[in-house]
Amino acid sequence: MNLLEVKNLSVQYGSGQGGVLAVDGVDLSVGVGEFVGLAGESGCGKTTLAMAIPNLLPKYASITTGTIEFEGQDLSNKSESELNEVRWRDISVIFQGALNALNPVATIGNQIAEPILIHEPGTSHDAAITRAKELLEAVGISASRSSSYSHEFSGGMRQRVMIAMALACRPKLVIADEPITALDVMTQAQILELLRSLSETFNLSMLLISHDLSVLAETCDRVQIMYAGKVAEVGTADDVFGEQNSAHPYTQRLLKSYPNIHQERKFIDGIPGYPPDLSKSHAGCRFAERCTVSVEKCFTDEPELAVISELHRSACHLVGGSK
Amino acid sequence: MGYLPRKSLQVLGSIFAVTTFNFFLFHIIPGDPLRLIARTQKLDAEQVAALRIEYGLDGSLFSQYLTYIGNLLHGDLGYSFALHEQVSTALMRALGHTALLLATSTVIVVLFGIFLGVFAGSRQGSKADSRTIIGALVFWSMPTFWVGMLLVFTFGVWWGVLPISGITTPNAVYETYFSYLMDIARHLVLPTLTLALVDIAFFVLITRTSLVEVMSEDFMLTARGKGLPRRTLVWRHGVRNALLPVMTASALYISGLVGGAIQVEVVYSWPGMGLLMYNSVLARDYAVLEAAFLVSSVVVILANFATDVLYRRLDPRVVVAQ
Repeated sequence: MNLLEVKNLSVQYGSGQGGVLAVDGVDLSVGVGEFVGLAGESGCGKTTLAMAIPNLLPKYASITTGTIEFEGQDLSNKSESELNEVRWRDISVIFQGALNALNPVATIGNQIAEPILIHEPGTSHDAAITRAKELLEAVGISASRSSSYSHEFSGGMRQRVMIAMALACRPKLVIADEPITALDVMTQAQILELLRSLSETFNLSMLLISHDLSVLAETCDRVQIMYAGKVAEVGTADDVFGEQNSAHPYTQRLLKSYPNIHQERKFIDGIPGYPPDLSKSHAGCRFAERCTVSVEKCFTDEPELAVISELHRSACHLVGGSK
Repeated sequence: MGYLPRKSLQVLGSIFAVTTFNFFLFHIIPGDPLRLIARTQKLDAEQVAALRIEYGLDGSLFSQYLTYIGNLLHGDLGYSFALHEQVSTALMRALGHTALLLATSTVIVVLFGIFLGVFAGSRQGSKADSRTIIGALVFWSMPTFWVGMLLVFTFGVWWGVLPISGITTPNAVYETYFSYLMDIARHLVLPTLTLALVDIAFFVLITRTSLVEVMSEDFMLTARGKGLPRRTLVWRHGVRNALLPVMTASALYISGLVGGAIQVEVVYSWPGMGLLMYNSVLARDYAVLEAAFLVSSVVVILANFATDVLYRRLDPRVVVAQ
């Protein structure tokens, strides 16, 4: 059984006519100890999907259909106080932009100790602080800095603090939402390395969101590409990113959008146009208008996720068609 | 130089500047203090000249200024002809009465204001939220003296349950010290209630706005993700951050009240600074006014100083920014 099994999940922002269906009937699974990457352009529903898992969506968002099974229990219809039991103890989040994700007026030691004290009642404050210090050491920050405040750290170090905090209760699943986006390349590499080694030490499963495909290719066991609130392609990192393997034109174009530093300098091959307006209903494939290989059918029939190989699926009528 | 010594020097500098400005302000306004005395008592030119020398009003403006500063350093604020006593004596007595009224109403206004502000802010957009705002604004829009008169009418005249004037019952004989305190407390109810009703909106709105802003910060999502119960979330992470602007507002409020509870003090004949200044204006008692202005300014400066020091304790970021 998978640790996390999301089925047919839809999340809507707002309601009625002006409502935006940000996630539309999406499946997602994360196995025990597995690293799953979630990629796609901005606004394609990655973060919404991830935040729906422990239901950290804003007030004006709601889960309209689907189930979120975590260790066999459905989180999608749990109350806020029931979810509070699961949050951080089982599912923690490394938030996008950790620069503002730490409370400015509390010491980081107290902030890391806080979930321990909440989820493990009976733990003394001193014991929790000691564990916070151990966690800081584990992410490469001196324990003596546990009484510092977040503004006294650099961006990379705050991200390390955030990671230490995410691991505080030894969760089973860590959702890392763009954990390295705001950092420089050297720090990015360090943080990724840290995440990888910690996941082995702590036996973590991870859902890693990034729009940097090379990061996902390097780190993840499986990768899921999203477009306009739908899954475009899912498979092992090799299935999705392998030279001859990507089966969805969107993935192929995404891969071409990254410059190759070994090649001659030239304009990178972006994808013209924008993702469609999700407040309107769509017929056919959502990528059809920007797709260079679309055929008539693409504009009328919505493609299903078609099986390509054991783990590889692609939502394209021309599966494997345009190499 | 350390923070406190440097800040204290700034405070002294500000007080000196205010003192100087205050002195010249009162010397450029038209009117001769001796003519005030001469108006009530029959004095000939010779006596006026003698008085002029006696009160140090014969020298140049600058030498008068030096005399003024010298007297000030000795705690001598001059003599009030209207009150027939030392200005410092009258002022200290009024200051004490105002401090009592001020402390009581500030505690009530700030505490209830914060509580209602948190109540509304943590339910942003709900009916409870808009009702709280509307309620606060309705009272905020009422003139203080008018609310005071309504309360006087209701509690004092109509129901006759509370005293409406002064700080103690005139000619009362107290058997115990406790009954004396109770008498003061009863006199304190209506003035405090008036200030509280009108001014609470100030704190409700500031707390609410500040909390609403903080609630949308990224670290609040982190706190929510940690699985904190809602109350912990709101108070420990939200309110703790939202209180910083409220503290600044409190300092402003307190310093504003020292000279500004005039309406309430006049309505309830509360013998504090406001009433003293009001009566001094009517009596053209410049000596008292000058001293009262000075004291108010000094209180404003000290309140700001206290806020700065407190801010450094509450917000760790302030220390770095300096």
